[in-house]
Amino acid sequence: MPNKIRVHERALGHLSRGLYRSPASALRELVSNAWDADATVVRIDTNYPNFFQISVEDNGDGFSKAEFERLMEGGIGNSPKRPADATSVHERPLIGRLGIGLLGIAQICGAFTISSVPKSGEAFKARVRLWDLLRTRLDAKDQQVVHEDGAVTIVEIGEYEFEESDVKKQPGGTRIIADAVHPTFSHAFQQSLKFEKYQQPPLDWGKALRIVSDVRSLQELGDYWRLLWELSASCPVPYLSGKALPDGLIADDQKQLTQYDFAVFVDGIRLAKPVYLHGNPGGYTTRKIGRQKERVYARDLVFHGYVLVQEGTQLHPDELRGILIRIKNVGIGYYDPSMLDYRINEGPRSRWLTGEILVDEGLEDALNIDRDSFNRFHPEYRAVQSYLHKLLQEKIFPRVYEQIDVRSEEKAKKKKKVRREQLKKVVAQATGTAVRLRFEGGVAGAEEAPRVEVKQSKEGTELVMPEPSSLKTKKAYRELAAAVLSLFETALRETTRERQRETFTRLLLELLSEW
Amino acid sequence: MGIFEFEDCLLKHHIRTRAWLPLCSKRREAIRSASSKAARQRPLRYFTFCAAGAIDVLMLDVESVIHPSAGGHFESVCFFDRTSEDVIETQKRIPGAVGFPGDFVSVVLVADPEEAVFVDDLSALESPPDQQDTEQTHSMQRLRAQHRAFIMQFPFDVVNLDLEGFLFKPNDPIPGQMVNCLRKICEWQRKPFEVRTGSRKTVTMQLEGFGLMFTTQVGPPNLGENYLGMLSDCVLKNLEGDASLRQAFRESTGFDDHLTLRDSNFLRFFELAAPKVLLDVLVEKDWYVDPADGISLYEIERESKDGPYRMLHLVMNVVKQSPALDRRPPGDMPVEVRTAYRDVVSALFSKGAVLVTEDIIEKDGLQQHLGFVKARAKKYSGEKQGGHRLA
Repeated sequence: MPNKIRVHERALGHLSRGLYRSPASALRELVSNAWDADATVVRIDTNYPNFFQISVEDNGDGFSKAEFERLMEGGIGNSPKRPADATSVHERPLIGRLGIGLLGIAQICGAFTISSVPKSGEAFKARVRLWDLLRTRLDAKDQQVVHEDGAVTIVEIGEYEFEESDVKKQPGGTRIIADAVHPTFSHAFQQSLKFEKYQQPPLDWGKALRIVSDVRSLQELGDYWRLLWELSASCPVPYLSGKALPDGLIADDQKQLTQYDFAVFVDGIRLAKPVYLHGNPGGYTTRKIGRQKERVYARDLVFHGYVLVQEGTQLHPDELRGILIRIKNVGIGYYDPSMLDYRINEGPRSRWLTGEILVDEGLEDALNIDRDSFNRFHPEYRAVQSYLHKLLQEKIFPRVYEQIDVRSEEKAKKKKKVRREQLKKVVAQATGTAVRLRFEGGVAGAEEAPRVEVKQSKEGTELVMPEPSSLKTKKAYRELAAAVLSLFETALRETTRERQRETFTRLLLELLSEW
Repeated sequence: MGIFEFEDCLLKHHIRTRAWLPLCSKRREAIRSASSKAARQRPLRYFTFCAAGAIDVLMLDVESVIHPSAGGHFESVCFFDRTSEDVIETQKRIPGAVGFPGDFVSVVLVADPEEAVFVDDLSALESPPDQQDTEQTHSMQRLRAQHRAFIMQFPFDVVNLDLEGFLFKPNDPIPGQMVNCLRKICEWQRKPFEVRTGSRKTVTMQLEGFGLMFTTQVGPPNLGENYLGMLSDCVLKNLEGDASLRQAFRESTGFDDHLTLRDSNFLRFFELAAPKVLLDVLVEKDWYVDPADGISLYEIERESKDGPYRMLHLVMNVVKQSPALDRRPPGDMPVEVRTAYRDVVSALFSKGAVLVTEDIIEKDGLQQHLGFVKARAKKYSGEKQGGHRLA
């Protein structure tokens, strides 16, 4: 008979204090809880500029004292799984399971106060205190933390007690205040305000995004900006407008997001998704990904989205580059600059690309426990990856290369025009008359030497030149060679060798000064 | 009722508009009359205590004494609130203001051996090499960090210590923690501060004066002999050496000596003694009260389950002594300061506090004004906030 494999309870204890990789990820989980609780407003307050406390409050359905007790006494991570197609009022697809998100806040503080006024059930306020040095004590099998109760091993990660308060007078919803914020958190955030490029984010997020798009990386603006930006990227909030991206790429999603009626404020700033791309001189290559439905191991995988390439111009900040996957509107991790491990090196072109894949069904099993990254070998993840790579390889980048050719051609034409104008200007100074260029003769590969004629008439000077393409030089120098021959011929009109030399030198230098 | 206690109290709003606002306007005018452009254009630096929903800040905003920055932040406003919840609620109303949660006295008076020498306000938050990563360590780090962060906010053009409790607490050792807090505040008010002159340039300035608003409950009734003695001495010091002050005292109170007054009319005694304590602290710390306006006193009577009690409001314009302490012989007080001190005490001894009652206030006007102020709170807290302006 095969033996059973078990996970020790202490493993869960370890997880309770190290689940998320950034404060934004931890706060995102609380925002997700608020979304599921039908909140229409979530307010995050960081106590800027001191960061001595951080709070998250929502106006959602809240949860009762009994439910809180159940969660604290073994219920975290043990909630019944919601059906995949469960929705709330406002038709929101439900995101998570209440409980695990609560622990997220433990990453940045040693204690917090939680109060909730539920739609039904008893309101409460409780103080939660998490044990110090938990990992060390778990490893040392500290009796206060790990103890046996009959056949069961109990792992305690902290304690809570209810507080007397007038919480019932508060409006409905949940409020979590982490007042015992870890000094390292306060330190890092306070320090980031001293960065050279730091400036206080304006309350208008549209204006704040302009500041963000002026820096190469969010790190230049510091951790506070990173927190705002990451929350704006990951929370299920609308875009700045339905026209935040060209070609109606997000118009339908914006309509949907607006219908969800969900706002997230951080220190009074109402967040919107951090993309607003308009007015790029090279334009945009865009591709809307319509609803894709695939079957993977007998399960449905449904997603849609878009890919956008800002032609010829790097996206700023760096953090906007790549592909962001959202599950039920919540960003998983951040924009992935590897584009889900795209195997072709596209050089600088990959730094022009941004996109989102919104997964409506599936992929949740591919989430790692931090809910911030994926198991890259999960079949559903591979299916999304494969779709995206095919799209990039067959549709997006070929189009980008076409656009590069078009732009190169336009650029060359423009350059040619400017150079010819320069040649006319230089010759006009020497002859004192208006100059016209005429190209004739000259056959590519012809053996005869190219000739330039300078014809003077009442209308002005006409330079009769060989077609540059007929000149036997490297392609890049043909235009220059034709111009130099013209200047030479113009200089030859002088009467003495000395004056010819002097005129040629002057004209040549003047030509090259603007070439 | 508003969510904050006394937010809707018209008697209090009378004091806000009739006493606080003129003083703050005066400080703003002082800023506007500075010689350099940068100094003229700097915002009024305002500290408020127990912000009570930031009604005072919002009133100053309505009256154009304080403005949010171009980014929409009240970054020149700093406040203390008793609880984390109150800080959050207040910051909703005045976004961008610097809020300190917790016990004001503990934060101001925390033992910080490096207080006089610290240059980097972050050092208290750095990971200590020899202490464990526990909540006990963190809590001391946070307290010191708050203390230093608070010092870094100084100085203020207006300090509003709108205390809800008592200035003197029977269990505190003499002279009382709040008096020691005042001493600290007066010291920190002498700190230089920087004003931006360009995108990256700053100039260093010092305050020549500031507005001080102070509120305390009259009492407590069980104040011990040690405190009563301290207050008596404070009054006696002036009566002893000046016959005209004694005369003013007699005419104003109807009593010959301060001890009889104390035992017969504690309220009037407190009206004299409490401002005198503040006045002495200011002079001790190299400031003095501008005699032009002296110390204005207002009182409100409130009801409570234990019976009625009185709140005493003191409002004064404070000026820096010149020459400064470190440029004077020991024990010397500039003549100007000596004269001003006597004038202010004389005025204190001559007239009592104005009792603000429903009979003397203009209810409709105040109600309407409070309505404007609260509408401003709604605007800033996003209750009226719609979508975004496009980038």
